[in-house]
Amino acid sequence: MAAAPVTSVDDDIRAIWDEMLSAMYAMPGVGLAAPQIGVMLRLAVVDAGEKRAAIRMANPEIVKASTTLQIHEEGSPNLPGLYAKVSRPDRVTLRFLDETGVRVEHEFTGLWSTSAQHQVDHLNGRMFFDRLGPVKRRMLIDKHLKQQKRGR
Amino acid sequence: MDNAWCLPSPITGIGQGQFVILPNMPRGLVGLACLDYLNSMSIRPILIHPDPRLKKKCAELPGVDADLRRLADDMLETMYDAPGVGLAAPQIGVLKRIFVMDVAGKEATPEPRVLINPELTWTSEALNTYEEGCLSIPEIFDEITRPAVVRMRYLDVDGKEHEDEFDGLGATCVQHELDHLNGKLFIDFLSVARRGLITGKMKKLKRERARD
Repeated sequence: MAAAPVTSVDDDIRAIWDEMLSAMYAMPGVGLAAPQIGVMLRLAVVDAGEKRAAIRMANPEIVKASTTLQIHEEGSPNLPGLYAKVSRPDRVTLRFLDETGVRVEHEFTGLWSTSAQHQVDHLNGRMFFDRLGPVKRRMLIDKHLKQQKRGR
Repeated sequence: MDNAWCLPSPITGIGQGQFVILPNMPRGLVGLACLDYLNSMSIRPILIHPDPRLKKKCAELPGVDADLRRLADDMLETMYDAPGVGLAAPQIGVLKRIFVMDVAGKEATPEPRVLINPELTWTSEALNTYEEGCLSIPEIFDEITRPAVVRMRYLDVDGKEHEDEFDGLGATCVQHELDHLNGKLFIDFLSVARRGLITGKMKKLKRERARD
């Protein structure tokens, strides 16, 4: 299910970003999309650096992606314990509304790039395993179902 | 009591007089007699499902210190305020193996308990079905079947090890709270369809709260 675009960045939106950041840092993770905390809005946060320097995004869209790819092992707190190597562009430019409501473009590289794309996927109702081939995808989903059945 | 400010003869004290409950206080208005603690204790926001922090296996606590006692106090205050009979740390976004509970009845003297690094050491074959709810899944109740009697080993806020037997609501409560520490919610015992329905309701609730 795709999340709904936000119409304007106000204090409510900023409060959701803050909540998302506390969830992300608690995991700990390098990014989080609003649907993961049950808010079906196009909001995402990314922080993949050494020091805390989160980027808050509303209505993010990818406007440019490199042709060179990088592989990173990805997981999601919604599927605990499941990880898979996913190949994505190593550099992307995203256009989004920042915390002041201004439309900006930002280039992400390395882990930042992987996480930003992973979050945009979440907003479009896609999970990282949708990027895998059919066999690997099936294996991962079966593993998840098995874990669920065991009651984890 | 190491604090002369505290009112005399508290019914229940946790640790060394950090948390004092007066006998005739109504539930939800737990009397906090020490002024310095009155200032420092706080009700923390309770996370609502779905939230990744509620799906995470929490970390074992290396030991008991003043910060942890403070956390336990906050959890008890948050639980009584809700009101609820149990609260696990991940429900306030702290991913540590600690929960608090009080299953004494509404009219009875409060019996606050803090359980740190809890583990089940024995469960009965006999089962019991209880209608469970959860502060992280407001207004949803469902019948869940679990062992009727369990034994649990844990540390208290003074770091002392205990092994206690729980039955009735206590047994349900400690198992429900232990599940929280392992990233499991009571709705995980329900069918996928029912769980989906509940998750949908919670998303709607969050949307409404975000608007208010």
